[in-house]
Amino acid sequence: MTTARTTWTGDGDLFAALPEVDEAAQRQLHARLAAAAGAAGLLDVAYRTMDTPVGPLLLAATEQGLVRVAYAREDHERVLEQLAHRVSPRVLRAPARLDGAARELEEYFAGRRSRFDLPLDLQLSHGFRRTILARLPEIGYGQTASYAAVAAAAGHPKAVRAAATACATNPLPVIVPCHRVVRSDGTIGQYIGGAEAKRTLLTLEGAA
Amino acid sequence: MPTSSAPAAPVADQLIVILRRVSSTIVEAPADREGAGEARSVAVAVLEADAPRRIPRGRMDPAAGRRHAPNGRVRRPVDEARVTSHSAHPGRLPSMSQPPFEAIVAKHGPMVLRVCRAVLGPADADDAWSETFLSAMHAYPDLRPDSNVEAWLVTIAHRKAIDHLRAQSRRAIPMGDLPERAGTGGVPGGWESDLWAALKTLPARQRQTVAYHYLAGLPYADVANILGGTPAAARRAAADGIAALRKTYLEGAAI
Repeated sequence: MTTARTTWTGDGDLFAALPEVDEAAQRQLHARLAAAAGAAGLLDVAYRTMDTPVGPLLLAATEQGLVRVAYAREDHERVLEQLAHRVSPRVLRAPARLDGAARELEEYFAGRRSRFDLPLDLQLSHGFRRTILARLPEIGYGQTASYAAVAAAAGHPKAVRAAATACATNPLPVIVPCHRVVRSDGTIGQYIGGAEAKRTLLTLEGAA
Repeated sequence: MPTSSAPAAPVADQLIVILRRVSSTIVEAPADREGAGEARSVAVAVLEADAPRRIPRGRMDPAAGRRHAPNGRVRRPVDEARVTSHSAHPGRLPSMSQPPFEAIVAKHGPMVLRVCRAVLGPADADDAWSETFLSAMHAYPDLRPDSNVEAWLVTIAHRKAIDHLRAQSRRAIPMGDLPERAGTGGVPGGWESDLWAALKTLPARQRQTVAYHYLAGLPYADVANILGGTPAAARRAAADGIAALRKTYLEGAAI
């Protein structure tokens, strides 16, 4: 028996019998690291993904609050790289910090929530764009406003294009309701998550 | 004895794997050629430290390819890390080119776990792994973009492991082998724990050089940087370790 075992054939990799990845151990260790990093104040950006009627959403939060919501079409890997670059490279998949956001989003998509009550970190938005985004929650659930109206409400009625850009670069779509901003001619307009996702959200809210 | 035959095959495979490693190393990477590769690697590191710049992949690959050709699964940390960081983001500041730490954990976590298990055994490996990555995460924003991430992680793991080795020797009771605590180091009593047990019989220095060179894929120059001493001494320690493993492991598998 042993002699048969000690003859080898083929070009088996060296150390091939060692599993490249011990999945169960890695999962457990990763969860332990996420908890320890959070406790040590090292978890600058925690993230998770969740499945929704508008596709998988990436949720990311700093210690201050929710900092990014991203649609799949934005490329989650790229979004994480941007977060590493713009916020901190200490980015870890750590779902616990996103529990509140995920729960509220689930309730929203189930039609049981009409406004979000979450700490937000708006550090990815600056200047006039941030001013615009700060006003968007004034457009209530189930309502829409035109880009022109949003610009006017922000005190710059001519800055229609800037208002549209602010919506297009909204780091917190769904939560900050840029989907409620539509074109003056009544058509739905563009959306960071795609026009189809915008239609889905407005239909959910009974606004379209 | 229905259970005893199951682990036997993997044990033998594992032995084969180690033996093949030894023989391939001898055949395909004779000492003088590998030494030349290391010298080049050091030269490149010095050169890069002085003036970071793009290193054409073609100039790096021959050395890496020769050293690691026997084992496709062992990564090529030094060259890969250098080449990608430079070619992707030449001259960028650290904070601008670092991937999310999550990517570091995903890419290198398994390697660090193998190293911790090899050096410490499965029982203490989880603690050492966790301490290593917590320390690494703390220091990560300051890591230079042209750093060799594997060598950096193994260096941290080495220090954490030393703490555990000291604690282990304080705990040690001279009454023969104690059963391993249940850990995540594979099936208890299976081939994998046999491997860790075989490694455990080696002197610490040999175990470390085997782990850092064969499991982490670091060239002997990097191993020597971590352990102190010369690359030649590291190579000797690894050779001695592999020779001893070959003996204990072969005999263990033959029983």
